[in-house]
Amino acid sequence: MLNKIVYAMLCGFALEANAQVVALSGHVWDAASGEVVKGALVTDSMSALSTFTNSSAYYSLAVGSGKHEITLTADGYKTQKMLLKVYRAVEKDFYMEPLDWDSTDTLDVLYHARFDYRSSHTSGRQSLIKEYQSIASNQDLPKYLQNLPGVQMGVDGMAGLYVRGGNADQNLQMMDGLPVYGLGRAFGFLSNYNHGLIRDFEFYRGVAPARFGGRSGGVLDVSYMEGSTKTLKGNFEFNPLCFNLTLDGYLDPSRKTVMSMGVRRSWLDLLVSSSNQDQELIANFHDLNLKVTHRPDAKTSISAWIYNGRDKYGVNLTEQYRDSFGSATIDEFKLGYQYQNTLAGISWAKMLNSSTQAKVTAGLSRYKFSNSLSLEREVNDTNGLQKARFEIDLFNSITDYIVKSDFQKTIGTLSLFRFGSEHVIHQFVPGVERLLSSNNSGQTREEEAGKINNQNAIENTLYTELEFHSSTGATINLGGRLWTFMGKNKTFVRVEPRLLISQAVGKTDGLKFSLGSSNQGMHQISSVTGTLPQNGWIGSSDQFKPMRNWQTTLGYYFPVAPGVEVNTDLYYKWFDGLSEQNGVQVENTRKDFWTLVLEQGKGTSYGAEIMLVKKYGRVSGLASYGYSNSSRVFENINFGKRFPFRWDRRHKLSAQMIYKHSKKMTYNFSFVFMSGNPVSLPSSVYLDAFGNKVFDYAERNNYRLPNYVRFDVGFERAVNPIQYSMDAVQQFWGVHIYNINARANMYAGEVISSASPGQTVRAFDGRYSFVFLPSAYYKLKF
Amino acid sequence: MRKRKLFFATVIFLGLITSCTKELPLGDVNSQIRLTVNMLGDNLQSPSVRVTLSSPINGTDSFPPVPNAKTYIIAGTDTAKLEYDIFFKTYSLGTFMLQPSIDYDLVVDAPGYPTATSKLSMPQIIDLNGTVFKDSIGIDNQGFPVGGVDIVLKDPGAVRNFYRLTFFTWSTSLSEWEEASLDFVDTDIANAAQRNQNGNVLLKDDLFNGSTQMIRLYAPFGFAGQNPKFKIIVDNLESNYYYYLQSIENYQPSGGIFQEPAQVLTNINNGVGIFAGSTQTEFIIN
Repeated sequence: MLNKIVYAMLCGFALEANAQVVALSGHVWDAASGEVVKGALVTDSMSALSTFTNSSAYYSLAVGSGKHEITLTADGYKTQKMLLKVYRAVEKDFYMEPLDWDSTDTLDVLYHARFDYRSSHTSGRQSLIKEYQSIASNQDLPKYLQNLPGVQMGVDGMAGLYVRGGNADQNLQMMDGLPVYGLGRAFGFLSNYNHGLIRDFEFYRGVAPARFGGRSGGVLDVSYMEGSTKTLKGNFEFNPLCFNLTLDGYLDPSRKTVMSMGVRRSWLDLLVSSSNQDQELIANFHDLNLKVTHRPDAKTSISAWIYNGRDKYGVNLTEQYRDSFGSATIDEFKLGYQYQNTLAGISWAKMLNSSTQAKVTAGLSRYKFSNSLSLEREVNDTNGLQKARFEIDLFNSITDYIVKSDFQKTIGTLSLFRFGSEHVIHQFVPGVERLLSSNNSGQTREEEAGKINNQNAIENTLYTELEFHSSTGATINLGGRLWTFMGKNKTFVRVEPRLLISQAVGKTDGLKFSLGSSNQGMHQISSVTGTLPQNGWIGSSDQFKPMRNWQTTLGYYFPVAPGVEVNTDLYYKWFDGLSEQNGVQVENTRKDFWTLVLEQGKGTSYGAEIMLVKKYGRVSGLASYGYSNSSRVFENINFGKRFPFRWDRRHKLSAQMIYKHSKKMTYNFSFVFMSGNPVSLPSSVYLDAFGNKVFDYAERNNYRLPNYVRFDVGFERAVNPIQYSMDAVQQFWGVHIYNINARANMYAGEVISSASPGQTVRAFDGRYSFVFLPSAYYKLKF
Repeated sequence: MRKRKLFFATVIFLGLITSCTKELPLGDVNSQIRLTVNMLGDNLQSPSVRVTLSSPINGTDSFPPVPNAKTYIIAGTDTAKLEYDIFFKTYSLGTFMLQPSIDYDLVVDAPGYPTATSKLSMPQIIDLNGTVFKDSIGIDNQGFPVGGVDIVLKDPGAVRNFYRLTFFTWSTSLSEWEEASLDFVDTDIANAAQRNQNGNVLLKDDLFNGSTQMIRLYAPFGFAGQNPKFKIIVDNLESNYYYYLQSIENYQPSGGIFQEPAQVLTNINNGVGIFAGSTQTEFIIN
């Protein structure tokens, strides 16, 4: 392997020295919609040199002057081959045709197995997610990703991603290049990502190239549609959780300005009449996406986008009564909590010359949770109207202000150079409590606690990547990040090397290796079982060090049948600076409260994964098996002894299949088997030094819950289109049954104390959700 | 009608988000009986070690004492063999006392169980000389004059020290010491102090490590012409002692769905329980 790499590099340099090098560059577009195509592989078949289009669909491939057979492949598109005569720098845009509903493209799979240096990597487009039905008939990207080996879902039905022994808060989840926090709407039933707007995604379970960083787990990079330049189109969906309206199209006759937008809102609360003023139940969520892109010329693109998602739950009660003295009293009680995400960004991308592209992005990402309780009393008696009010608000938030730049330059025939920077100002509000009271005489008293914990941090990163391509089929992505995190009273400076190598083996196979490190300066004070909306964030400081991981992977990828690829991976991962709750409960307004409730420690995770994927065609889906072993060690937890990670499920077998019986009828099947996750249960009861009975938790996570087994089935049927003028609105409806085998899949266990004086424990109870959950939906496409 | 709709929506909503429960077989749990060893000792009383058995989680509660264990406390080359007291059901030796600044090993050898061991390092005595009472230190937030006691605590450097403070006033009518509340004048000290449910006031030396710290307490005012008496007791706790008290305070038998249970600290190898010590200093202001 090493010999081949050295040979490839030598060959490459020799070629550079002898041949006249010219750049072939441009963009790749979707021929049907005019959308950009990210991740398309542009390959010079003669020299076997290749490159991917970036998020602006820009590519740049340096070739020797002469005739070249260029092959263009991309997920979900028909492969194109063309002969080009290249004697000087050429700017060439390509337009790719989407695949037909029942066809697959074998060449795409073959090329990615051979030339893609990324391992443990999954990418796809909207169609891939739209066809995958999940709980409550929703199509949600994280639910699809939960089928991958090495990825655990956490609590059943939620959008958590626990990647190779990491926590959910260790993932870098991005929406158009900006980080997004929290699990999303409805406690995570729906992620922050509106599937109807997703253009493409890529997900790294393993080592990501140096352009990604800031978190020490997986990377989920989601790009939203910019909008069709061909027509105005849209979708409307209605399912048990929400309705979802998405639109995209051009805004001006010249079609230089396009937009996409989407609105999701729950509808269940609309059933409850708002005319009842005495009691009101509040349970609703919504989110809104809007993205506008302007392309003044073929080389320049300017985008601006916003996202706002909000959940609100609570109850308002009003009581009116009159006593025997004639005093009229109105009592109002309000209890509720809400959380919301806000993202706003703007980006500018320009092809500076035939070999260089620049992109600058600026934006903010904010997550805020608040919990409030208010009591108000109005008394109208002989003394007149008297009022008193008491209100308590608890809130936490994180706000990031981000500026980043990315440059890409082709150097010589075999090298591609990427570099850039990222600057983030983090504002952490881990927990503030505000009390407000006022009385009839207008006196107001306001107290605030917890502001002492507010802190800011500045994260600066520089990165470079150098890609070597060789005629022998070796592709090397060598990069690194210089990461600095200026937290409270301490600055951390760390270097993150990244190495990703792919060596083509034979005509179709690829051998992959990667090694890399990443750091994370922020910590979520998350519960052990799952991320909750109220879990706040803190920054690394002189009291809390950053998280770091090192990971190495070895993979072998090969096609086994037309359109079918097998990925096999081995990985080993080391963690440091992990945070975990020690069980201590203190108010989160207390100074540096996290130093009391969180411990920091180390961990390891290793495993083997095999995955069979077929993304397109009449039958598509994936089947995977993963073995993993994830453990942690903390000095002050479990008495310093190593214990299994809460989501350490040793075996995971997952199969997901979509069968398109006809253009009108599609069937959906899903099967998941997982080892039970460990939980902490006591092994005995003993007397403490004061004679009180206490549980002997001999070890943390010492009990494995029963295995998780789930079958889902569903179908979607197209019905007669609704005709209007020259067009038609397509109609679909579908049914989905989650956990049709009605198994109680447990995710947590707890001790049930006995009321009997002679026995401390009555039972252990396992917690589970969603046994046999049928749902239906209706969709319009216009 | 509206209430029915509200009810309908509530039921659906809760049905979607609320977990169900199912009993797990107790027999699947790795139930075990372990040797339980407890001793919280000080430099003023003969140490008393209680040795019992824990009760298996799937059985009926029973914590039988272990009368036939060989129990030793070892300091360097000196070994004290503790005898079983059938009245108190503990192991002790009347002539043996724990000494400040000495390290001790505990060995409990009970038939049928692996030998349980532990260690403790007795903290050093704290110097409280200079502690005084002041009849008036200002006025409180109600406008009344208040007295104060200035505890002069000479904190040993190079080691982390953990203190338990107790404050008494002399009752002339009852002719006995009465425990009084500990109210710190200094806000930083007040914030740093941990007050346990059982009345302990615990203080780490983070704020004043290695220096002489004056800790001012509010005290009764207006002893003109009288002879007030106060007593300050400062226990210098071994770190395990301090964290043990904290863990008892924070103990949660079950974490519920989203939390881990909070465990009680144990430092007994091959068993459970605590072996920790403190040194006590008493200072009387007359």
